[in-house]
Amino acid sequence: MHPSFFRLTPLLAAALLAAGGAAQASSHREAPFIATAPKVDATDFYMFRSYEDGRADYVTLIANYQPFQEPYGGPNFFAMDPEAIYEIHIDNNGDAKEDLSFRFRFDSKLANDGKGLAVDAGGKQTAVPLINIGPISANDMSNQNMTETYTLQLRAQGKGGDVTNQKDGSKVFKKPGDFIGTKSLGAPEQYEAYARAHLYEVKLPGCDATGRVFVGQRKESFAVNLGVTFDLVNAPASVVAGGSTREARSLVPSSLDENNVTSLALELPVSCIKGSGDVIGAWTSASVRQVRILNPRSSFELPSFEGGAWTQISRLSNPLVNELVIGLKDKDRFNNSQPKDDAQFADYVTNPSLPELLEVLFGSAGVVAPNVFPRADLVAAFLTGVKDVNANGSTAEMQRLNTALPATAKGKQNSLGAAACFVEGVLKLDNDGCDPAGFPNGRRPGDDVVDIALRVSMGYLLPKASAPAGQVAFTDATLQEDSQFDAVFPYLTTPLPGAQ
Amino acid sequence: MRIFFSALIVLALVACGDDEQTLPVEPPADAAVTPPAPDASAPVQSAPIPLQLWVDDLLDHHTNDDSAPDTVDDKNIADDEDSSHFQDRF
Repeated sequence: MHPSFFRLTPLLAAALLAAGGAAQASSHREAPFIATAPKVDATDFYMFRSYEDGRADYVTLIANYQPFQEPYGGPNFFAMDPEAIYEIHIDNNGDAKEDLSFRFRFDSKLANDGKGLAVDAGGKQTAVPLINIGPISANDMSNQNMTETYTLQLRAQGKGGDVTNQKDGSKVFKKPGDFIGTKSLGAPEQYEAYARAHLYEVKLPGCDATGRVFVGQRKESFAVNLGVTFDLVNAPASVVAGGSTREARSLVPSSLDENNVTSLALELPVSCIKGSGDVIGAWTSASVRQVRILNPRSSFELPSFEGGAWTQISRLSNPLVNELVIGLKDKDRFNNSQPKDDAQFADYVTNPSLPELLEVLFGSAGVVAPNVFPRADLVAAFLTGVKDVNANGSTAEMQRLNTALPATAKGKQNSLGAAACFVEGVLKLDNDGCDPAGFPNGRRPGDDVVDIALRVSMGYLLPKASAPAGQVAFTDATLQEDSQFDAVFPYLTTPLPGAQ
Repeated sequence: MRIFFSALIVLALVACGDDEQTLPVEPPADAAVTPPAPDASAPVQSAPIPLQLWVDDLLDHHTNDDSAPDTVDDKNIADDEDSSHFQDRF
């Protein structure tokens, strides 16, 4: 059924327009409607065997939200939406339905019992307009005017319940404030210490082993040559098709290098999340209530009244799918949809438009789209998983991870991931550079998914006869690799300060 | 007190509510409502449902974890823009 909207009042329409930005990325503002709701806009999703030393028995899942955070974006910075639910779903039996859902719910509170911090101004205690009135550190957060907390609930048949702090049994976790700047939060290493004071070891319902959770601001983890990509790939064909060396893939800094993002990171024991098989599928979603009534006498606590059923407006698993695969007319519907219903989007994968567009743009330079349809290679990469590697029996868009395949340590990862394990569509695990622990077997932060997606869409997994340009080393010329990330959970790095 | 902007309704993107009861609301006999312009892609439905009643139903009977969102494009929702109806929600 095609969703529709009511007419928006001019006031609301203006507000929505004001919230808009100007660009897109992995899944940043990728659909018309979610571009109006940045707090619930999922930007990237990662799932991989933990490669931190001593954590081989764990899987890390990271859902990033709130795109294009300028580090100086005060005075409110980037709190999460307390009226939304953010979820990470896991399908562990291959039916394209969630078997485990980890649900985050946030709350924001002012200090001083909800009245906010105040200063003496001519004999009156006047509430301050800022979210801090002095330095904040891991040991002293008393200058913080607004604090965010969250709860984490596991929803699962027969073993759901609250995720609790292993240390004290608390059900409520604190989220660190955003990196306002070095005067407020110290040098980056001090901010990191403050942030890591909010990394919790947690007890999971129905699981004997503990997990870990971190929610907080991180430096934007996605790397892409954004402006060029969306300006009809405004680069010479020699660059776009010339990514055969690391140097040629790193000609341009990422357009997102100066941005932050907000990460919801979980580290979960493999034994507690997998089913009878080794492959798990996962995705993230965000939902808001179906009805929002704006309060004409708005307050910090009650800017609106919200109710009705939870309505999903953001969905993300594999990168670039809703960005570059789904047609504009169906992008909002994709965000609204469930993996089990993905047959409705099958044509976008079996008969994709992107390769045809690239042929139009670079045909004069010899770029030719694959000529075999339906594109079974793309179905395997994005909808079913690869047979004998990470297929799980379902046909649905989700990341799939074979949890039996060991992690590859930082420094040894191939940024072209598991794609390097194929030679003209044939799986060869002994192929030079093959790194089966990477995308599309899950996704690690250092996997260069833009280059992988470009190459796979142009037929990298197909025999040459079906894909004349299948072995061309396409690149956006912006490198993504493991050296850009930490070697320990939550792997994504310290956010950029708003001032220093 | 002026109530021009006493409330604005934001209807989030709506998913199909296959497993949910659809709205049992009927317009009151004296309702004087003007149906919104029909969506070209949606079939025009029969009796218009006053927006306020529909929203009340969503708020009062579907605010829980198990409800599915109600559908929109299969209904003829009539908005008389009298937002004072929602004052009591605050």
